[in-house]
Amino acid sequence: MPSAIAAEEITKSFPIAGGKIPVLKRVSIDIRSGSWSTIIGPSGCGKTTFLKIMAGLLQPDSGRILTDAGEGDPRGLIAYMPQSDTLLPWRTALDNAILASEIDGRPREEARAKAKRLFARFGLAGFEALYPVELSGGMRQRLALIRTFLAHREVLLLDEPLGSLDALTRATLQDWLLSVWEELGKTILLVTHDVEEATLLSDRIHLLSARPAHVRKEFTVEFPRPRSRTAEPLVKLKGEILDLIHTEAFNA
Amino acid sequence: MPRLFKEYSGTFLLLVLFLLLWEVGVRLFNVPFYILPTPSRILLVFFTNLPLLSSHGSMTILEVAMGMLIGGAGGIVLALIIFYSPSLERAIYPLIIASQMIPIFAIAPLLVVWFGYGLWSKATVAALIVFFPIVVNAVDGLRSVSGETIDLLRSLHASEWQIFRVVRLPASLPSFFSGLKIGITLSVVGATIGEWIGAKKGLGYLMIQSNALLRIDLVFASILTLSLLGLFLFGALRIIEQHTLRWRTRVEVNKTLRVKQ
Repeated sequence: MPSAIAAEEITKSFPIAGGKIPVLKRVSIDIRSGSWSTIIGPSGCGKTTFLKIMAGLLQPDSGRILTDAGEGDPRGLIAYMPQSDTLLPWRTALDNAILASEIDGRPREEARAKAKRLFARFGLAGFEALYPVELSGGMRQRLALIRTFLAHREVLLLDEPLGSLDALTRATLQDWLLSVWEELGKTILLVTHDVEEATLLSDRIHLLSARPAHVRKEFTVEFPRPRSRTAEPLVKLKGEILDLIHTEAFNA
Repeated sequence: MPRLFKEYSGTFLLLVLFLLLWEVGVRLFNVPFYILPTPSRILLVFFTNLPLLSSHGSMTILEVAMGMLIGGAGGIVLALIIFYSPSLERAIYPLIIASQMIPIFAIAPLLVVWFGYGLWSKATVAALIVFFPIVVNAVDGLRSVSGETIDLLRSLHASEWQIFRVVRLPASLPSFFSGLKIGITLSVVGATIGEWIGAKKGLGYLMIQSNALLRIDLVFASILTLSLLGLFLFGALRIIEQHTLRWRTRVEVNKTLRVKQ
């Protein structure tokens, strides 16, 4: 599989009073086209910063982002979903979903028709005309994710999309997200702190160290999907990753 | 109308009680009508002088409307400047705040000298009062968009103009309307003050004239007209607001439904 987007030796620090705080130290990640990659690491290790650099929202101090088109601005290739759902409260669910199409200057009615089909296909039928505040937490996340899929971009960068949900809703949405991804076929880079989520969904897991973050270890997960949360190899992998994270957290 | 009455039944009740006490008190203590007229007399004077009051009232409305228009437009422009240029913000904001320390009574006579006894001196007074709450609220509204939302739009390669049109403008509308609502009540006061100081027409002018002639009943009728006018303007603005911010109205309705369930 060719690589869809790659980060090469990304280093980043933030200025603080009287110095700099190093956040990322030569982070390299290669993401295969059509695959699901996940970044996991102790909290506060710089996962979001890394994702923002991948999204072209932050410039690294050194290192580069590579796409098919070569080095440069990844926007146009990626669709970024921030940690909170960032739905616009004055727009209906349907009009929130077509946000990217509108920014790209695509015809609105066409975008709406397409979004409607996805709503029907992925359990949001009947919610088109509701406003975000009228939706439950799980529905809001679904909507934000559908919006990201509808951005007509090859690579989706998802920053803890299910992090704010309760465990039951999260489990439901993990399965749901997997089904959407399998049907729509995009490349996903997911940031999460949920190890089970990572093992359940990913082709590759990149474990980041404590700050300044570097890639501590990479795992290739080859079990066929859909995976069972309780299958023994998955539980074993989960344990292995958790152990490493705990060591990292203590070293921090 | 029944719904309106139900919603404000407490207000109506208090008002009626107050007026009743007033009526009885004046009659009981035989207060002469040129000192304090009874509410019934005021109401009578109000209806018999309706043409006079509406002719003066229309002038006041015109002044308020022009003031709102000028002050509103100026306020929006200033808010945009303050929001998009930090250096201009540092230069302008202190001046705007300082300008609010100058009592409007002090400059109203000057405005009459500069702009004459007609519409424009009063419209300027109203505009000067109106622009401040609009600037402050509009700036707050423009700033209310979260950094993550801006990140989302930037990641889609949205231009500054698109970010303004798609996010900042709609996000700032609720606070902008708050500014307008504060502004519209203040601007009625502003226009009336302007009319006291120098005018040929308007409810403020009518009040001063009637006061001098000890037509206290007409003064009260003017006050009544003035408050009806303020209520009408405020109500009209609320209807526009509810129509513009339908999503918010829906949300509020839903919240009350949820509470009732």
